[in-house]
Amino acid sequence: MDSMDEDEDTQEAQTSLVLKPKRAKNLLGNKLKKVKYSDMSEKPKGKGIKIPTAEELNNLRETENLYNNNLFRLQISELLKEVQIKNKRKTSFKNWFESFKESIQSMPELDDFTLSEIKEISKKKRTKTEKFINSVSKYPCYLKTDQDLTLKLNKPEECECFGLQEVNASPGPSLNINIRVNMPRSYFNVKDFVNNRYLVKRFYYLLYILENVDAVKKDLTLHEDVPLLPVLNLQPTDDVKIKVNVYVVPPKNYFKPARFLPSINNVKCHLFMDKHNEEVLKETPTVLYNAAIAHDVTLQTNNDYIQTVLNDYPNIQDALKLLCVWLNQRELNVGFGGLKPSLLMSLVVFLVGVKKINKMMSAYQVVRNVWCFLADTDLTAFPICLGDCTNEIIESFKENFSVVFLDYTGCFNLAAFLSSSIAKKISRESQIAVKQLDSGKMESFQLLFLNKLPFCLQYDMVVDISPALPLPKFDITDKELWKSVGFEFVLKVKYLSSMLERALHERAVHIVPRIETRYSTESDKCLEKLLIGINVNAEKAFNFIEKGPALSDHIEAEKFRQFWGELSSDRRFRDGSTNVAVYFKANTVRAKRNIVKRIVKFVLNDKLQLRSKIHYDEMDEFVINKRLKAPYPVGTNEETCLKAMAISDELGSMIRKTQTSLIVTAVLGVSDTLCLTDPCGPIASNIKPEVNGGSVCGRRMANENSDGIQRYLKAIDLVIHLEHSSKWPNDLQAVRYIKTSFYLEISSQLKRTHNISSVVTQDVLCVYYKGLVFRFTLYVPKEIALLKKGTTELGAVQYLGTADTFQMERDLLILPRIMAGLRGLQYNNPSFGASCGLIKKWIRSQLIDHSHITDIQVDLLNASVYLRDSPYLESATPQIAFLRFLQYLKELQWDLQPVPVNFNGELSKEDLLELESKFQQNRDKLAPLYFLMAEDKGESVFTNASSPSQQILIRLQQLADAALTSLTRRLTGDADFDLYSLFAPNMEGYNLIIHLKPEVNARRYESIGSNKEGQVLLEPFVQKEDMDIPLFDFNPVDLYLDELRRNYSEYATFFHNSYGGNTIGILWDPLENECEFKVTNISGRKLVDQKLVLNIDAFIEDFYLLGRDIVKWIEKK
Amino acid sequence: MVNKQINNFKVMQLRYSSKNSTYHELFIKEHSLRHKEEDKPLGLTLFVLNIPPYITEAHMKDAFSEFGNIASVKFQEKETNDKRRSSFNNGYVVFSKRSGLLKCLQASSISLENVQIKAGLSKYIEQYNNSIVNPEELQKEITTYMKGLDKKEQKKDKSESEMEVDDDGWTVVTKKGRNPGLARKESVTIKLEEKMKEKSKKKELKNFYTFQIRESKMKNVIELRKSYEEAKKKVALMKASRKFKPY
Repeated sequence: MDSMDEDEDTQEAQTSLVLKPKRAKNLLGNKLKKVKYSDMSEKPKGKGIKIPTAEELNNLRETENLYNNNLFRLQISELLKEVQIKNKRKTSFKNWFESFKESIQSMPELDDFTLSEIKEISKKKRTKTEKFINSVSKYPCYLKTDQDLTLKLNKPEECECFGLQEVNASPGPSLNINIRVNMPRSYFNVKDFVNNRYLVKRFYYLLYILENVDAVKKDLTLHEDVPLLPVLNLQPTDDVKIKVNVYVVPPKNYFKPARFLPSINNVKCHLFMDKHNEEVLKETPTVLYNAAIAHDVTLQTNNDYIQTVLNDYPNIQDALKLLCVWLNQRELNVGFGGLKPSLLMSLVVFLVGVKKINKMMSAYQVVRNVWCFLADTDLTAFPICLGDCTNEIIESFKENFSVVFLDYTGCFNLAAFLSSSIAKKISRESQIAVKQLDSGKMESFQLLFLNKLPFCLQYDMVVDISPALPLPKFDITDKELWKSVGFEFVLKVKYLSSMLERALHERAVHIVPRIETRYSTESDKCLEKLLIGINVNAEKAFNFIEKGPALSDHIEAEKFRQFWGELSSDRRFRDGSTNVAVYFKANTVRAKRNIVKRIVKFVLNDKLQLRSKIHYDEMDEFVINKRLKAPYPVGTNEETCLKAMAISDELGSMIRKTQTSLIVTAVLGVSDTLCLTDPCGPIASNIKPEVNGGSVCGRRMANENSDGIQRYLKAIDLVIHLEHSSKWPNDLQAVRYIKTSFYLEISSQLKRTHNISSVVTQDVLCVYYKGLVFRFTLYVPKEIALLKKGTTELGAVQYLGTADTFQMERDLLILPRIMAGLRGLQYNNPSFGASCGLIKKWIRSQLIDHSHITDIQVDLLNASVYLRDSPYLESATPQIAFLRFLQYLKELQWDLQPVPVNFNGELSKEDLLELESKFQQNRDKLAPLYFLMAEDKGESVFTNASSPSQQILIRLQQLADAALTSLTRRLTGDADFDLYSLFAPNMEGYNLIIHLKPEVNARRYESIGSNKEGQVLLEPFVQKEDMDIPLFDFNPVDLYLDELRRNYSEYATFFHNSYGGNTIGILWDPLENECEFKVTNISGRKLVDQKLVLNIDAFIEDFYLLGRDIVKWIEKK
Repeated sequence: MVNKQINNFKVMQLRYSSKNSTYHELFIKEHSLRHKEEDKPLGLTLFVLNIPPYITEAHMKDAFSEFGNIASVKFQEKETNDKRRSSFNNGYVVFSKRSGLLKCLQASSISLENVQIKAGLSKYIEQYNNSIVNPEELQKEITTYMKGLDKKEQKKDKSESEMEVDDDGWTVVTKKGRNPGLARKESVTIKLEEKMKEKSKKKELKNFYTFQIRESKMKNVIELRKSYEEAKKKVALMKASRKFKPY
């Protein structure tokens, strides 16, 4: 999937990056010149400032009053320009439409024929009518009717354009136009609206037009995914971006709209289903059938009204375009039940009618008001109407539809097919949108209009029910079914959602079905795809008890028992109450998350017997260590890290209590294990001493034995802060020695009071406690001050930072604060740690290791996803967080914007703006990836020019794009592949590949593996007297890689998977090949024809030499 | 075999063992500089370029003793002293006799067969084991250093207390005492300067004269204009990278 040639990538990256700013500069340069020239005449002499013109003042003031801010205004106009439809396209349509009208008016009048006559006629000489019958017989009508109708096909009454494009409110770049064709009066009988007669006639009229017009492509599709309403879809010219939908409607005022009120029955015999009780059938109103016909009947009246309202208001038209873009990006208009743009248009017209929108408003204000209305109004509770209506009628609609929005005639519910869950979701999205507008951040425009929010990224869980189609009848009553005759699937999906809703109860926030339909000749195949998206409520979803009604409430309790079946049991709770309840056993975080999946499975598989695919936690697989079995229950990396945190807290409090000359004020974790973001944290267990390795000074020595190098044990880093003291000496070496003596003091006290083994080196204290090794460093501000101290020319003392002090301050002072921030984030968002682990595993498995992008940089990037104003709801599972991270990474504009990581909102809006403008001014001098944080005063201390480099960022973005594309396809059921392939590196494109000996790789147990047989069982830790500190932080592969990088990074870049990868990919630096003879150029080269060339063969020899006993072989490509 | 040669430099092949077919190319020439340096005597010193990073001075000494006795080997110091990086070295090999140097200049290749280069797994294991220190020795080291430091401090204190009144009867102002002077720190000067600025600002009257009001209005317009220009720039950048395509 990532078959891009690495070499090309980097080159491309370089060229594109060089070009971009240049282009931008030219753009600006030209503009500036023009402005200067035209302003020469207006400029008053002797003054530097241009006096503002009235126009400019107006413009500036307008921005302040009518728009959010300058940037927003410019961005809106830029977007509107982008979605403008080209004039070329419009004229080409206009020309075609003229010829279309002509050909429609000159359609031949055909002889009458009946439905039963439609058969293939194999005569040689055929009349026009017979020819038509012949071609029509290829399209079987999927609708049955009660009579053998006579079809009198004749040219139509009139034909006109309508819809969004006609009021200039449809966003481009493609031109989508609707044409309405009024069928002739002679074609109909008075009672044709009953028993499908109208629909069948309508169908043949469409075919009649289809046969008689010219277009490049002609086929039948559905009007807004409604199965009963096919329309003719045409592509008039070779331009694929012009699409025409032809609607046929009854002649004006032919059917009375009141015939289609939801209380009336219009289908009186079996046409859709078999085996019905005819008596029930004749009495039940056919609600959705009526709505479908009412749509056709009222189409002209409604659109005429809409046009009169919207025609003269360009701002409202622009606003509609923006809203359509917003809707499209969220995919809320997709499928049956979605919010269609035409409905949105009617809604805007309604808002104009109730004076929530007026013509003075700017497009921005209109959009904002629409969102405010949608956010504040519960459409399912308050019916609205375009025209005047009696309460009685509204009530009857209210009884039958979840959302009521009556049209101008008052007989058709414009929102008849809108699903209530989508209405709820829309309201939620609008709330988010209003919040985004109010936040006034630079990225808000992007999040609202430019970023795509695909269906599978919006929900924590996606259930794919397509394999179970067509849906069985479930236990829905005949009466219910008959009410929605022609739309049985709607009812079934509703039933399904309600079952899920009942089972998930408070665990789910949104349960949104996505019903994709298509035109089909068989009525039960029009439902093509059925997905259900579920947003989980992270606070309540992972509760292991589902509390039912009290036992004393017999009826309710029995209902509960029936619903849950064997899972339910009677329980007594701590507060003394006795209830029926369902208890889900779960001893790890992962198992708790899994409860939601278990419930959904219970409903779909056990209760409804449906085949389905659930996308929820498949990716957890990759943060589970399958090669090592810990001595405590383990789900993902979370348990390992939590255990380490608990042990480190214990040890920390012991150290705080030690009696030293200065009081220990804080023991702070700086290792990613202690903020749960480490995918392969050290497992607390008993470590058996090596068979023949000796020990020195209480520490085990490294050696090589028959099984290879001992398993890697990561040391967990912590920092000790001491109380302030002015008594530190002014001598640097002395300060360092005193530090060491502190270590020695703590070490001996730990031994004495708690019998804990530890060792001291010059710079650190390492403690072996409960099966883990902790490494402590002292932070002494005096040491840094002494390193920085110098004198100015005037003799004053000044403090200048060096690379060393910078690093010390970063790692000992700032990093602990960042870690605290990350831990806080983890506390508020339980999916954070595991998702970071997943992300790291993924990035590392692409052979991008810490020298390219460090762990903390990855953590901060993911933190910024959690901390921003997300367009999504909270990520409840690591998987969805991972997917959203991929999308974020893909869309990240690191070259244009800094990445804010604002823990606890410590940076105010003003701070952020100031730092951002500072960033814009100095962009060229700053690191490619730049974090804005309060902890380091906006200096982005964790990134620099080479880490991560531009090339790596671009590479990551490409990888994220590729991974996301294939994952989205997998989640929506369009593709299926093994997820392991996402975590396997692409080895193409490297110049050299070093294959390592697996047994020398101490981290071999961290690799992604599916083989369960090779699992190593670890024993629980047992405390003994005088324990030696085990071998820790020793991995020959890492050391080898370090040495290679130290020696050869001038000539090559090295790629490796830190988590137990057994290959190192090497790319020669493309710039570093041939050059002239110069003493400074000689390094690493050989002389060929009086020129210096990289001595690659000798390098390979070096790699073998340096990797003696580590390298298996080196592959040259 | 003819030796390759360029700009007075001769190419010498450096092989791990005589069997190897691949080799690094060392560029050598006799060291000649107008001004004398004691550790690089003329006529005895060989200038060697392109020494692989893992070869130390000791290794060089062992390798070149093939041609004669070596007095010393010294690598050139690098311009950047970044600890995380090491690369190819340049160095001076000083022979004890000129004959050795001449012999060396005649040779076309040199082999590292007799040189023990520590590398690979065994080197890393040794490194790890050597990093283990004995806490008692560490403690001893600390105490001896601190004792030495204490003595030095005492001496310093003594001399300082004698300095307080100088020969002409002037008293030296120190940080201690009843009326200590300001510390001579850069940060202190900056703070003082800022304070002065604040003071002078407070004295100024604002929006008092008409021209001040006019100017502040103008300033407002300029600010609006500036933010407009800034926004324009951002949008231009976004446009340049085709960010406005919604789909």
